[in-house]
Amino acid sequence: MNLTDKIGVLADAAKYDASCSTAGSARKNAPGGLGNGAVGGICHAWAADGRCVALLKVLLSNACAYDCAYCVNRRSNDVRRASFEPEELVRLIVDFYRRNYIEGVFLSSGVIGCPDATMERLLAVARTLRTRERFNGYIHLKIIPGASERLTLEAARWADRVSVNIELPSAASLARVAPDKKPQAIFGPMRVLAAASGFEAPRLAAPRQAPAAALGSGGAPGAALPERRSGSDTPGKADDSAAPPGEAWPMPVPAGKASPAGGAARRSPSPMMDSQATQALPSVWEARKTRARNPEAPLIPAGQTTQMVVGASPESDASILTLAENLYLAYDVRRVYYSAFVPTGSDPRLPAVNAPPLAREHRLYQADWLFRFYGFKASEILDPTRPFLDSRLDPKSDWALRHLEFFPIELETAEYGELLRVPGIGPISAAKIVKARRQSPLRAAALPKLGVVARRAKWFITVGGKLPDTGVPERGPWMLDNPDALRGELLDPAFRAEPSAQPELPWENAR
Amino acid sequence: MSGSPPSDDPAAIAYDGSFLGFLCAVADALNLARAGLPPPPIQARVAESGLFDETVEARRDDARAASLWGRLSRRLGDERMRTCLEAFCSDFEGRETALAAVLARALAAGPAAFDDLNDPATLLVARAARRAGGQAHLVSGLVRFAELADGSWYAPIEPDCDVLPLVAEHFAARYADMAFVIHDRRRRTALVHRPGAPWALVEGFELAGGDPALAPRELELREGWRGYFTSVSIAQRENRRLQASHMPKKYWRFLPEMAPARAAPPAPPADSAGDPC
Repeated sequence: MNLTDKIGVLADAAKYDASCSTAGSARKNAPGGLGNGAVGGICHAWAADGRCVALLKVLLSNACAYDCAYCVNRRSNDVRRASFEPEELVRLIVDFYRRNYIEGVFLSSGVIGCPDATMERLLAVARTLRTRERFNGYIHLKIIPGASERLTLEAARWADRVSVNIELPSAASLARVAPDKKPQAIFGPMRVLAAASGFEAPRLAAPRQAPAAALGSGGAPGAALPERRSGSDTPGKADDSAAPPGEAWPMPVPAGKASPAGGAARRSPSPMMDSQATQALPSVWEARKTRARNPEAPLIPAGQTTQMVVGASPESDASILTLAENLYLAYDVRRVYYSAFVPTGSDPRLPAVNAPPLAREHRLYQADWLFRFYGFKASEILDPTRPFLDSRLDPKSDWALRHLEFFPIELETAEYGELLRVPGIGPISAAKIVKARRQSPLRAAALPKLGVVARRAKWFITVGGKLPDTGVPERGPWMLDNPDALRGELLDPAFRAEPSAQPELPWENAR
Repeated sequence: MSGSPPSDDPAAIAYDGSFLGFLCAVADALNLARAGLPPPPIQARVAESGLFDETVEARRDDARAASLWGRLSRRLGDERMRTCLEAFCSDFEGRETALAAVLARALAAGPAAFDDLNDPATLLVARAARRAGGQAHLVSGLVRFAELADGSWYAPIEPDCDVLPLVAEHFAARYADMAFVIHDRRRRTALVHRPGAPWALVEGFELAGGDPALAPRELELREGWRGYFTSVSIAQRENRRLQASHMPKKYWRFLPEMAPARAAPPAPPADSAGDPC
């Protein structure tokens, strides 16, 4: 097999990992060295599927001892197998990097032998790059589930970012679809990595014992991690956990304090947050405001990430988002990636799906952005009575339609966090509004210059006490009293012509 | 302060097209503004053209330019100065005049003048900076070096904006141990870097002797990269429009991965394809 063929096989085997980000590391070049980190990240190409190509994302080997149903590399799948010699891969990385093809490398591997032996092989490549080649470009290492703590920490030493994939959004689905992976082999390394990058999970009220104990130590991400180092690691306990299919990993629910009565501050987002649990936990955005990031940190400056396959198991969007929020809060995960399940062969453990659920993946990412940049909590976006995101409407517009009492927002006086709640206003335009209104009064006509999407925002705002012209006669801002008509205006263009046309959602039937 | 002055304004100030020359023109404009005169337009001098008869030449004086740059940096901070450089490097008509207006206002009223997007000159500067900055960021990913037979590296580009001043630091830091040239073929300028020496921008750059000979492994590695690029795409998610919106077609010309299959990859001057070494 020549080099091009080998690259083809091993890239093909790695491409279902969604992460391509190269942001977050400002690793400096050293005298006589090659490369550096670009803290904002750089994309080097865009593949035919429109996804950014920034890293040489390959497996060291696509031979695998595991048999995870969703994975193209499972041992029972009939695909061409190939491996790189570590030396061969190091040379290829340097050759590509010098040509400015790539920002660095994303290394993973099928499990060959035991997890530790596989992890050692990955580390050998990273170590050679950093020491002998004096390579300071971006390295993303995958932690092989079950690798020892020592090797996990060594990965943190060489890499800019590491990731441990959760893969399935619940313990039950993991047990069914990926029988070789145990929850503790996933959450254990995540905890080690969080600690290695100096993160201390917020200690809230003691978690209720039952759900955490059901998974054994390291079983579930939760807010009070340090307590859960010890405990019984009885194998098989995960399978006994009471989580039925469709429920996410059990989460410890922190005992929240009673909220200060909500009625007074109508304009503050907090009265909107209804359940007790959400009152106790900060939003991801709030939690991160107090968390200093050091892009030049010696260990994993770009932190850790994880990925969930969406549509290979029956969990609801609500379960997925609640889990994601907990991962952000409990392990300081930088990004949760959602990967629409791409059918890679028939396996009775998986639903029959014709096409990957891309629309669903897209809505999940939008909701994820609401966590990280807009101050939303999972419970504000979805709850048990509304377990799935609306495919025709972005989750923020959906929230606004359910909270019309919050509007209209006066742009001259609203705080940054309130501006972020307006559909059509994002972090950049909100910051521009805050800056611009210090200089001179805002004009409704000038809002698009500040990056406001007037089509969505105009229904929800006043500017200098006045309602902006909606451009639609007979449909003034009193539409705020008419949620159904407003919904029609906010639907994504593709759905506006035929408001009843709901696309096929095959994953809803997956059991 | 207006971005488009009335026609009976003072004569336009012409400068030599360089950033330092432009700063000298700004210094002249600031002097006029201080004397209470309306701001003059500032334009790059176009060689052998009678387009601007009513122009006053701003003499380029690097010491004077450096002194103004220092004064502006202290007053406005590095981030604003980066904005100014980006706006200057853009291809927006009227950027020089707008920049001078914003700088005059910022010197009088403080750096917050850069945030007042209600002002047309400020808005033009912000947009110009965003365009050039965005293009520089894109180019920093889309430059493709070819290794030449002598061990040096060559990459051609043809961007709309003059991005070389904006990406020079990035490439010099990243490839500190490489002798490389990034050649802006549209402007006939080049970023030239040698290990251990500071980078330099060269005007009127031409490839001596036509197509440079490539290093022996160059074509094999391009083939490997093309193979990688093809494999990494997920067929069930194909979305060519999304691809083209991130990476407009005008950039494809120098990307080995976008060259049509089987055809020889585009070597430096694009018509040199087919010459293996």
